Amino acid sequence: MTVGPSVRKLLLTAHITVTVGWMGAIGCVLGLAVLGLAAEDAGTVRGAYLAMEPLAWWVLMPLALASLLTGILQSLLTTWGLLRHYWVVLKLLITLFATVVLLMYTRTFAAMAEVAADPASDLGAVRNPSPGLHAVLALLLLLAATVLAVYKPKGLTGYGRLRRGNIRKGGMV
Amino acid sequence: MPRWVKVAIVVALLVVAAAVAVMLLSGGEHGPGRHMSLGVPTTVLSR
Repeated sequence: MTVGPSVRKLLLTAHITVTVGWMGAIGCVLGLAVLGLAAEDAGTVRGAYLAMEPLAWWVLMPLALASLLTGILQSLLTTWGLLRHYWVVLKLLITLFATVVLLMYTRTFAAMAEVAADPASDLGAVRNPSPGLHAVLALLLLLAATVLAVYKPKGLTGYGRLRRGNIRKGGMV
Repeated sequence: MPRWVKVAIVVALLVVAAAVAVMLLSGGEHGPGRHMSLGVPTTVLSR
């Protein structure tokens, strides 16, 4: 089933908006991570790690899930399909992987926030390079997905070739 | 399979291998588990 151009553009707009928002939110985590490592004021360092947990739950996760959902909808409701082109499959895998890692990493955000919230904990134990590293890797992954979406490199999967053959024969669509 | 897909698979495998190597070299301490023990941050437990 495919949709008309107006719905297709609406879905595309929604997908681009939430995905760019997701990348921006990861940029915010990166900024907080740098602040947490570089700031000298104890309150600022603790605040940076405390802010990451709600940011993850209220901004990162919703945007990641929205990006995944709008991407799947868009591929299923247009001629691209979900499993017909290698670039769509690869982009789906990248988004799925990033979302699953983010979901698992929420435990780390919670643990870092717990340490940061404890006034007795040493500032050295509060500082953690992990969120910055993960944010950079996440940005690189989403950048790769963006490149795939813009360039759309050619290549049909086996399933895509089968579908195309069936359509040409006038059989199952 | 197009060449770019093969290159992407090789790059992905190299990245995964590098991540595994980093984990092994750092004593397997990676992921949420390194911050927690029975749900309590290790830094809290150690105090």
